[in-house]
Amino acid sequence: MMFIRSYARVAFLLIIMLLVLLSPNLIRSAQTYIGEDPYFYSRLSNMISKNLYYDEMSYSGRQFTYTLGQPLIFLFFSKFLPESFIIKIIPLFFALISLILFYLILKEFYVEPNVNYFSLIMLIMSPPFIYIFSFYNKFTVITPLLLLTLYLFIKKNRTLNIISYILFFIIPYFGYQYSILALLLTLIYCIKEKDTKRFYIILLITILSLILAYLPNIIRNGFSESAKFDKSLKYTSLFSDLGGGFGISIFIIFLSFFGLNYLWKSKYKYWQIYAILVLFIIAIFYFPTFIIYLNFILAFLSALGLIYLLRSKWESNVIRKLTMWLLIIGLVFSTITFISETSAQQPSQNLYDALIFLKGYGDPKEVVFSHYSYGNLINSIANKKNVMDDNFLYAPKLNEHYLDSETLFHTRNFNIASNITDKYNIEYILVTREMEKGLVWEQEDEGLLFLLKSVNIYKRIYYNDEVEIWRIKK
Amino acid sequence: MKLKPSTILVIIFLLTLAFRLYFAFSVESFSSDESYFHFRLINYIIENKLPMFHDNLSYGGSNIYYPQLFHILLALFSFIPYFLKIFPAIIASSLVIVVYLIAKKITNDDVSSLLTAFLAAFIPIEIRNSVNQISIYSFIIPLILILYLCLINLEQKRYFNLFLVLSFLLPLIHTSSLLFIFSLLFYFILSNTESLFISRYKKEVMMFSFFLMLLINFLIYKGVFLQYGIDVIWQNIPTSLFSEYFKNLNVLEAIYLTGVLPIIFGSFGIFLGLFKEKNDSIILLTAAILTTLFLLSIKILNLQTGLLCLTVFLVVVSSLTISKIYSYISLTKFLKFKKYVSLIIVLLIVGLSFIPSYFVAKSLPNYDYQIKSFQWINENTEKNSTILVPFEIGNILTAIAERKNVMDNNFLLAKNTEERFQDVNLVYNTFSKIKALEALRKYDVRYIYVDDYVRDKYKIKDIRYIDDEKCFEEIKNDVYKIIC
Repeated sequence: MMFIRSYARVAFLLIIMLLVLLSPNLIRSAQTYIGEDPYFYSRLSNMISKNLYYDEMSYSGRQFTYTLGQPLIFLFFSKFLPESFIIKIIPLFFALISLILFYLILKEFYVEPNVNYFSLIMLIMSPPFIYIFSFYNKFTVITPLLLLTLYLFIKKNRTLNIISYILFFIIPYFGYQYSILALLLTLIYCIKEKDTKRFYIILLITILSLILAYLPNIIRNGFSESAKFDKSLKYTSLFSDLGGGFGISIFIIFLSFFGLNYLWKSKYKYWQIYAILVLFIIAIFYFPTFIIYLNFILAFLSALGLIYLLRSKWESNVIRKLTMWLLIIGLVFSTITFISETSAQQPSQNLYDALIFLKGYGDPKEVVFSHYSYGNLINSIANKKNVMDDNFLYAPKLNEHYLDSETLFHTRNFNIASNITDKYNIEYILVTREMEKGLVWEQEDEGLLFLLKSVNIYKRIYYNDEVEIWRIKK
Repeated sequence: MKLKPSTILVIIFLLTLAFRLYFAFSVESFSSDESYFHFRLINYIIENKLPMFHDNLSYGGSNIYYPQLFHILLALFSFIPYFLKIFPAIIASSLVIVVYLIAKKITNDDVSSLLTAFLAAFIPIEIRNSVNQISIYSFIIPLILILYLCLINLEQKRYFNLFLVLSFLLPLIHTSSLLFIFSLLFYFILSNTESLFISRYKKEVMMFSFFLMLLINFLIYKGVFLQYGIDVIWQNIPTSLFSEYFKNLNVLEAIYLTGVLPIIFGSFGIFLGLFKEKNDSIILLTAAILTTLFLLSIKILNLQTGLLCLTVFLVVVSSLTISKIYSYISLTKFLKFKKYVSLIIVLLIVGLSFIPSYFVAKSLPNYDYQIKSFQWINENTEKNSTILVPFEIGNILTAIAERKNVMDNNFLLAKNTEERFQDVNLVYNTFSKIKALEALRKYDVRYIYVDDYVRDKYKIKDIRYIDDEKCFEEIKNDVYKIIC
């Protein structure tokens, strides 16, 4: 009987996971991949396979200073799998691995089976999890890798520990910030276990790996120019219900408070959880994407909170049932809203069509100017150079590109506009509705929009409901 | 003959109702632009038997994200003549009954409770926001007070049931439900800091209410939250208008509108209830006051609404002070003068609340002139035309003239509010005909409305370029047609 029950539980988890993770792609109206990452990593893996280590497209030419982990894994799969399979299906396998690892980690810490099970449900239904695993993106591989590393590290088995050291060595190749995260988490664990010696080992390994991964770049190019723009952490992006790209559900946060309340009954016994939470809250100010990993802790805490609410003695059974239903509806509502938001991510069909048109128009590798969030799509789909994209690390003259872009967007002075388009050899200007409605401009006929309509040097060569492409006659 | 407390309460109720009806029927129009927004929604429901989700006239066409249960409820009484004048007055007058019930619970004294109800009957700022108006706040504030009443009396089944029902209905009426759930949080914190025991039962009900209201708000405002995120709190108000919108009233005006008595009695009531007696009901109302102050300080509530809520809560807390005055007198040699104390308090209420309320009600704006002009526009202009009016009378235009406006005060999800605000100002203020025409063409404006209200608002004698007969034809003394 127990076997059937646990078997049913696993089946239930699998069904929910498949349903939740496949939905964004299934309900997506555009025949395109979700987000810019799939296109970006496809392009990078192509470059690696051709041994090209200078990127002519991004910022109209830059050193290949991207992290190698994600594109190499993409390249590995592309040897024997079609691209669409890698982008849409492979993340599901990584999701499954992550769930298993998360389960095993919780089990290592003697988390009660029911809490463990609910933690997995909370995790599956959480917006960050949906974001990571519904399409191939920069978090898809590193997330299970981090979980695996931490799991092997906490196991009381020397061989597994040694494997974890190897993984600690690999992590920086996916991004230095993940090494920092892994180090901080293991530090807390080592303090708890009173085993700081092991921490020093992985600290050494990580430093060595970071040196190997980043020192050549630093020697060649110096330190990366830090972006003087886009710095303010948008607090709205931390909550999916408030429009955050991969933020946490507000209902999970509320449930987590109940979980914390339960833990607090034992006062400082679970100090590690509080330490991790504080650490994440601080880290999120510097690396907002860490919200994705905070989500794992909150999944556990919210499950704990839910079980605590279910088990605690209620004076009113009606209120108990109603509250539980409300929480479930709230969680499902957050999940459904996020799925529909994810499915509507760029590139839309209109943008894709416009970029395909651009690909077949003019000479290859001409420069296209647009908002930097479209930069990777311009490179990957239109096969044209961009002025700027959102890969800021080691981007050449990053702040100058940004300032010039802003000036060009907002100037009504033709001479200023002309100087900038000449400086960057800009041949095309891509304007989307999203840019017109707040991403760049707030008002009709503001800045460049006015020039495009009133100066005859700019000729509109393509338009649809969402996108306009203007060519600059020279 | 000694009157029963319930009889006196009915007299107070009738007194405030008569006061409100007198002013409501003394003018033809409503006394606020916002009333006409509600007026349109109610009429739409009456005609179409459905709430309005898209407004073809506001901002030249925009979606409506506004809970419309209040409008549905009012539409149900549409068979009664003048129902939009009578029912808002009845609803606003019901405040005295709710205040009496809470005061009775706090003081367990009829005289104090009746005096508090009398104080609640004439609050200048409440009069300013509700008399001769279809105001959502005149409905919401008694409702929130009923929720507090239920919370205080939660052990009784009928209050428990009522609390559940109202927890569901409140977010369907207005976003002020967020004020209520915030106040529950403050109450929880205050009770903990004051080491006051909250029963498990009450905690459970509060938790349920918290999640229910939160969920319903998320469901209603899903689209708005996704578009604006947390910025939705500031309602997409144009930046230039923002500082003006939340401008500080001077202290004397604020005291005049609040009334001196609620401030003095209320503050003393908080002191007694919170620090001396640790009275649960007072802690709950203090939490509501603190929430209002908090929301005011972060400019989520505008000053008018914030002061309104603050004053009503202070009035309820005043009941404790009034009852303490009686208790204190009973312990002194002045016991024989006890009946005069009631008289003094009544006189104070008349002097410091009723008379200011009367003058506030007398000075409420009168839109009769605009209504007549807009009726003329309705009969004499093309159906699809856009008329330029200041945003402060934008709702009156759409409701009466049934023509498109450039902007009104429904900023949420409206298009380019800042740009529109600047453009409307420019058309009325500029010397340049070219600039004005550029702005007017942007919104396809066919007619410009200029009356004394507009002249006074923009401090102009007339629009400076309007004499150009090649471009502007005066088709009525306050309406100009653009012909070039």
